[in-house]
Amino acid sequence: MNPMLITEDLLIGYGRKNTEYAPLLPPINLHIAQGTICGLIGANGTGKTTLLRTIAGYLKPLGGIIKLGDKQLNNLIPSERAKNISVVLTDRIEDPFLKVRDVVVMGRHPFTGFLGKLRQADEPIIDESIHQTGISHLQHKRMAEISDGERQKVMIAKALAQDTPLILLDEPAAYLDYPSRMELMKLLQKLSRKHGKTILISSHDLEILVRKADHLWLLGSGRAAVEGMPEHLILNGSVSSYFGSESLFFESLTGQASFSDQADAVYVSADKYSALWIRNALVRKGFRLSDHSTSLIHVEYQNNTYVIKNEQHTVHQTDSLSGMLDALSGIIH
Amino acid sequence: MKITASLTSLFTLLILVLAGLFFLNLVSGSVLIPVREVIPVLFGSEYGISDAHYAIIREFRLNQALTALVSGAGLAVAGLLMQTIFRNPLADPSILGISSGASLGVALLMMFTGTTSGQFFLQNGFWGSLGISAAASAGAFAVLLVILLVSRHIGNMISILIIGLMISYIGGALTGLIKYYSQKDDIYAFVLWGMGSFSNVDSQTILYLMLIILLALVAAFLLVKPLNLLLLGERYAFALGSHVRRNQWFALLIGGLLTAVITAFAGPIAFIGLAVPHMARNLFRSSDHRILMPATIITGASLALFCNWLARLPGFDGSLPINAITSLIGAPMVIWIIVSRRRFYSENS
Repeated sequence: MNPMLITEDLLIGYGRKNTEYAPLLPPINLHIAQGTICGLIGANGTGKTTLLRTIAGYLKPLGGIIKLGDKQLNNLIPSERAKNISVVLTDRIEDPFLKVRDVVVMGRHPFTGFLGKLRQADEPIIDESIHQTGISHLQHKRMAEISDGERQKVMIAKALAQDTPLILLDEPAAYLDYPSRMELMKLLQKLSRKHGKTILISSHDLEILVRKADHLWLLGSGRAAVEGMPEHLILNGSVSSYFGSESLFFESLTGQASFSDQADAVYVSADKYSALWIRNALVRKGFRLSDHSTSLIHVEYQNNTYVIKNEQHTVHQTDSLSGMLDALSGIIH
Repeated sequence: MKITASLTSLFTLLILVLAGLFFLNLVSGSVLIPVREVIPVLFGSEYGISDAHYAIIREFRLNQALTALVSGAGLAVAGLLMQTIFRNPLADPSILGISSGASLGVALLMMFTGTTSGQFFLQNGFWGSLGISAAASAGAFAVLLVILLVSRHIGNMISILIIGLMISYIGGALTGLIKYYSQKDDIYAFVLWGMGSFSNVDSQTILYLMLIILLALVAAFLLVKPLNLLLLGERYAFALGSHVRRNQWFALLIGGLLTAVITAFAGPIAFIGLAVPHMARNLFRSSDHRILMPATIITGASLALFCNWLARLPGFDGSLPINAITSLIGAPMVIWIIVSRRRFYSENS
């Protein structure tokens, strides 16, 4: 897949004129593939918000460039930037009279004229955004009357109405309970899979991102940022070295996999810890899991090497998780 | 925004109320002049109308009503602009210290030309009132200039709000010092000015005043889209392609200009700028500036005319200070709006 967002030697931080610039992190070189969800994680104070705000354009980069497709973001004028990046923030909307639909309508303003009058073509886009986020029943309610989870969906609907290839979300789960968080991630997954949106989510909620994000950016203070598939970063030890608190959520993940007897179900053979993450990756990519070693397709993981076997014959061998997943989809689909 | 039937009828009703209050201001006063005389006079006809009535309307009441109309509209829009860019329901035109600058200007004039130097400035007729306007303008525009210059370097609206408040305090303190060293008569004259009045504008000046305010109102209309985006907060507005800082600066400029000009000619008029945007929002149950902008203009003009009419009701000795009336009407109105809005929230939560 094509990288949608790329940072090249990006330096972030709060700089002032005439003072020595002190970037928060070493030069950042990261990317996100088009149509995928990327989680931006790191402990508090590592620069998550600063990086997200720099990409959104609120902060100027201290150095380096950010590219969106073939456009260089640093050079975009505000109205052009608004057609390429939309944001969902934790900022509350305090206005007592603003209605849900009014907020979604604002998403069309990068395309409207001087007085903000909607064109005929804008209405279907607004309706579709409201429909996609499942807030049709709320559209005539006031923002003050709806719940935090609903409010977050409204802001996502606004971002959809803005119709940008890239959507940035800053701590979208901050005020949400667990079911609302899962629902939110499902919605985002739909938007990336079905509508090809590229989505970057900053969060310190490691658990939910590991389950639902296709790709992670991992920040640690003063260290070079790393990226990769969540399971890959866990298996190679990056998450524990950057985050340091992984054991907290591993327990909750065991037993989540549901197994199938279908012929194309995959049997994972690895130590208990690695098998957990490999299964997690397989499920997210849409594979079925088998708990019988009699299954036709086996994935064996040992010494950092993945071996795919079809009816006992080795058909592919690789040391990369994504390489294994690509090969597997070639075999099964 | 859809132009619905209820929206149209509400606006029609408001315009009728405005027109009614305008005529009431021409008809009523220490002498009652019947409407059948007022209308021809408005069109310049003197036929069958006594010279006295003609003069009262043409020389006094018409100017006064027009001053009230444009001042009310201008202050209300200035208040709306301030409340939106500062995202603060308590913001009003005086919040930047512009009125306090105007007061300081008048106080200085009073000190240098008052009874202490043998010229009681308020008794100087035309030149006296022109002098006051000039001094008030100088003070108001000096403060506005400082605010605009500062806000070019400090983008943060909260900082500007605080700087404005501090300028108010400094202006107030200096005015207090001047008053402390002034003569009784001068202080009385100053207090009178501080009470506000729509009757200090002559037939010539009102044309300029109307022109300036009209231009500022047109400019304010051009800001409706960025103002609407600001309802989501600065960051969302920015992400939707708005030049947030630039638009806030223009809103400050327009709001400040309106306040400075109106304060120069009518004195510091309290509460219209604060109360009217709330009234308009509650009346139309909307925060959309495409609705609020015309709504605050009409409501602000109406409220100023209503207060001016109350202040000149027969039975009072001369006319009451306009500032007292606007505060007496405006403050309970704001309380009522806040209380009713609270009820609205608790019903729905």
